[in-house]
Amino acid sequence: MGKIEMDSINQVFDLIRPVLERASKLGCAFADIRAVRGHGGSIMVQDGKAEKIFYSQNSGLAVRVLFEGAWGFASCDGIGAKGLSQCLEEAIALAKGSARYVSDPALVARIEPIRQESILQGKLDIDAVDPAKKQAVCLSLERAAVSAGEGKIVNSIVAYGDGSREMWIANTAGTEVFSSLGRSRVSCQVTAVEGDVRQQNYQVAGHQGGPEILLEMDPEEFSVKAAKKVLGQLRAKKAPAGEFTVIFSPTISGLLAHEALGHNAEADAIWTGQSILQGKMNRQVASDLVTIVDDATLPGKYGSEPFDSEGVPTRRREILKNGVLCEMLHNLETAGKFGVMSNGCGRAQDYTCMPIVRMSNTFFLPGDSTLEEMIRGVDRGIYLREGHEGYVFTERGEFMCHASEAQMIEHGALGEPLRDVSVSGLILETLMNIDRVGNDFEMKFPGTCGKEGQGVATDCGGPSLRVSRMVVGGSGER
Amino acid sequence: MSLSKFSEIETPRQFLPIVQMAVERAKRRGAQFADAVISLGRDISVMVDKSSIKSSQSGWERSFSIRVFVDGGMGFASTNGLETHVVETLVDRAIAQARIATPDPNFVALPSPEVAPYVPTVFDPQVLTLGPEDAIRWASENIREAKGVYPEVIVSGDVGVRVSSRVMASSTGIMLDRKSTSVYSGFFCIVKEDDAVGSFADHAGARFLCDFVPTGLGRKATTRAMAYRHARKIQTGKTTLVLGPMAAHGLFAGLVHAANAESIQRNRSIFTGKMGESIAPELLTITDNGIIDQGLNSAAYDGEGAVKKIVTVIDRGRFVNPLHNSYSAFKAGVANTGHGTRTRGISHSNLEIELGDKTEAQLIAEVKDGIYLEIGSLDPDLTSGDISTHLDFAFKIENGELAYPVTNTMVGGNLHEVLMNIDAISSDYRYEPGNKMPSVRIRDVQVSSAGE
Repeated sequence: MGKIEMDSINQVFDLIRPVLERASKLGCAFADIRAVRGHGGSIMVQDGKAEKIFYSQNSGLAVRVLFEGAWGFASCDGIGAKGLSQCLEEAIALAKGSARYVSDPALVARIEPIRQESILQGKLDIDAVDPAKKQAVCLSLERAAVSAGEGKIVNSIVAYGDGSREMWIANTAGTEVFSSLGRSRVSCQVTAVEGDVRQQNYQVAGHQGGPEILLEMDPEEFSVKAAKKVLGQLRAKKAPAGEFTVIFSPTISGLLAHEALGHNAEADAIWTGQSILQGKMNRQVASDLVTIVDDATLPGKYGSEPFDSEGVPTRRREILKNGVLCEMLHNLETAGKFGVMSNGCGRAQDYTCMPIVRMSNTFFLPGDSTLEEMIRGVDRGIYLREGHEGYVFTERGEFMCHASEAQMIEHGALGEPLRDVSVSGLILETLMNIDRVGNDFEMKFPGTCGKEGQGVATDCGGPSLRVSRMVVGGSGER
Repeated sequence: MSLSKFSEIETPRQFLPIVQMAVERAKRRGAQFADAVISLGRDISVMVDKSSIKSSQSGWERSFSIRVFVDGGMGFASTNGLETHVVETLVDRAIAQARIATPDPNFVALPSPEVAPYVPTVFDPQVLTLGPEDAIRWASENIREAKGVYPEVIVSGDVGVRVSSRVMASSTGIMLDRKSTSVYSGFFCIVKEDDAVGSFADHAGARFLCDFVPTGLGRKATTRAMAYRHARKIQTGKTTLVLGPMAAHGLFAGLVHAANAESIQRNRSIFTGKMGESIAPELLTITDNGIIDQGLNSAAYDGEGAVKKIVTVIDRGRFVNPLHNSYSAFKAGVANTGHGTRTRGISHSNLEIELGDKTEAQLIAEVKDGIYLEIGSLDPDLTSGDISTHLDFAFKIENGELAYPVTNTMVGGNLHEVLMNIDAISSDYRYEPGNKMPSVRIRDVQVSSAGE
């Protein structure tokens, strides 16, 4: 980082420091400020045309104060002394107005203040590649999909988006961190028709980095793959309904880690009684084959960040080890309530939102079974591929995962292809019913996880997994 | 502190010169068409967690966006800085992007100015008098009510008020400004009794204070949460499914979303090739009405400045009208229905479903063996129509009565079959300003579970 950039970084901290000092003088037990500046663009290619090209830039700041157990939070656009001062005044007024109604007072954990800068851009800066070049690659990926579609593809879309975000975070404990982070993502959606059957396939790739993900994309592994898969879906049958042994491929097992366990391990849900893991720390909650980790430090992964939105350095968190619940995901508040240090999971969607406890990159660790061994032991079951989406009700421990592709398992061998299908389970039953963990691994599920109206970048992954019994939301013959 | 402190939002026309300047600049730089919008917003909200007020929050937003077309190629740029040099830079950026976009002969023009025959009311000055103390009072009252039903209930949720405005100008001569207000609250309640856990959520929203009932949600959600304890798995099989108002609204909103003309023209909608065909029994009629006074999704003009029209999408079971924006309407050679968004998308507004002649209670009473889905969506894939999803908050129906809550239960099938199997729509309904939400009954739905 050159001197000019360091000067520019310090200018913002110079604006923030006196506001934090004033917050302390006005009686705030804690205060923090985030200033954010970002820009990015996107390109949508559809049916052979670059149709929509977008660009956006924005900046803003957020002031959060803790006063007599109540949080006050105010945000505004732009980064300037006037906005900071107004936001502080408003945040304090809001917290003071709420304080006497608070029955579960907020607090923050002990903070080890740090002063650090972290630049995590990709090999290529998002502005270093001409939009026309990005567009040309999108067009070639889209053409490759159509060419592979045997004339059955009736709609094809390739979309690429990238963004760069600079963020300053400082608090009354003395932390001052600056990060510059790039993320980019490319997706391909193809729709094919044969007779009365219409099917769609979606492929996505994303990373914490720059447009190299687009420029280096192999069509065979991306848009051609989408085309081949959608052709397969046209011929696939409906999945049967009922309870079956289910094998998750590495392309969907991460969704199980994220939905079935990750959300329940968020300490805000545990503290408030909204998680089935409440009271289960250091207890066996899954098969002893199961180890699940959340790690925001993995280089280049979509959910990676050097600091969370509270300025705490991120790290690897081993949530489950051999089936035993070892660690929750914390922000400063939940860490304070549980009497531990934050492990850097306080994330906010943007400067208009307060940080809440979130996952980053969540995954099962591999085991020692081969896929062949797993399949061999199944008389009738379902093999799921290509995670699509999922959700969970943490308080009652029910979750659902949707796969965009599946296959029957019959008499110990893979059988006919099935259309997209969802499975659901009771979390503690499902985790206990994992009876094989594969020696393979994949983490390529970049997406946006939603919670309390906020979306943040996450990834998830894992090896092949076998669950002895799960409900399959099918509609075909049993 | 109250929303009325922010007069800037109440007088959006003061920003008209900026959007006009942007459009003029875009034309000078070579755009054949352009439109620009400035949006302003002010929010105050209160969050509830663990049956306690947790935080009070405020935010205000400004944004500028410009859309330009060169030979039909579209460039779009947005920012939250309104300074002249920022706006000028963004206009130039959008022009550069439009120039590299592929020329599109299907693009004809942006909408021309039109006077809306009716302008629905969406701005309530009473909302401007609200402040965080009102949100705190309503949140506290809902917590108190919830505890009155079950003292150990765990309540989370939020209450918020918002005022927003926008001003728009286009190269075709459109000049519009609009102000709106909204108030909302939502609560999620959990009750636990040993290992039995029940939960439920409810919400309320309105544009006018007189339509907003701020309390009662905590009591209702806790009462329903208690009913959801002791859920059971059931047997896999075909059954009758009754969708309550919230679940049915999700299904119908999905249907109208699939009636998006762009998706149909692009061959990725379940309605592609279905125009004029019967897709459901005659008892189903769905109308999109975006000009209902005080409606949550009401506006006189859409995101492109076109007049919103009332559109019957499904008429006595037949798919009769898609929803258009300017692009899809020109492409099809038909009138624009006024459902365009700023980013050239299409979105629906308020939905009105024609009512049946029996109440929801009567529909349930006629079912010997079935399921009542209170909250949740059948979540059909709007391209294939395939359905495979979880029943989120559902009860088993036995001999015409809600018998017990179900767990770990899923539904599978295809939307075409599900629609044709609708056999009743209720005469009573839930009303969320602008949206009339009856219940619906569907025969022969495949359900999966793990019961003995």
